[in-house]
Amino acid sequence: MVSSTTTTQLRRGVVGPCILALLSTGPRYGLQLVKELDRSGQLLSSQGTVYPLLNRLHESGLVSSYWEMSDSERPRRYYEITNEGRRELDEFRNDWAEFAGAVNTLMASTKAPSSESESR
Amino acid sequence: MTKQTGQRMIRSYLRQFDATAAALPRPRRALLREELATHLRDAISPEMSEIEVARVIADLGSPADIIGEEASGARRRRGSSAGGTDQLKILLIVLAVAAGALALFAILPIVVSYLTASEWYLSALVWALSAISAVACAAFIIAARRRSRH
Repeated sequence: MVSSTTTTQLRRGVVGPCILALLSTGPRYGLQLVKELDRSGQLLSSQGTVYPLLNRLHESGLVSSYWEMSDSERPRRYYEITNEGRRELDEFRNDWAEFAGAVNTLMASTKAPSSESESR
Repeated sequence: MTKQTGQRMIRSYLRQFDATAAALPRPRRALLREELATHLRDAISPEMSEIEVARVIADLGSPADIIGEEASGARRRRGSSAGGTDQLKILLIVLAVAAGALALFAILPIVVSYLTASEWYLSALVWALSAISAVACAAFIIAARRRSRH
């Protein structure tokens, strides 16, 4: 289906920067990221896909990770943003504002005539 | 629900993962498995009903979906690095052809110099250097092809 493919492609493009945005406020482990992404809306097709994404960001040098061990809890892999990740995030923020503005303008300008024709 | 039921459902999910993830490199497979196991153990509490646990597992997604995402990321990474590899291959092929042509054309002066008993060993030196260049370029091409297959 066209719409679901488009949504999947959109997700693939934006979830990475959204993870970087969350990590820019502090280190988190996988489940924390999943919960926060879920609270923001339909950003993940399924929660488990966050782990391949994190691996990709890790391999690109945009995030680093460390294991935190404690006696009371299970060992957890925490992720934190790198300096390169912060640069990537800043760039995305600028690009996204411009991109989203252009798409919104185009969608709004093309929606109006069809809405009018429907009301006739 | 008992704690054992939750653990049984987690083990069942991880068995599905193991059956599906065989194609992933061993270190990556082990790490991804550990993260999924930690996710489930954190998200599932003993107070949850069996339906709630099933919901947590469904929200995590099927192992096939997760491994599919992992594989598609790996394909994209290979695709983005392929451009540089192709340019390197073209450069090496051009160098190999040039060195081969030089080696071929150096044979003629050797033969002529030998027949006329002049300083043929200089031409032989040029020919030998060109031949070494051609062999080195061929070795680079083979190495580049092997690297691009990985």
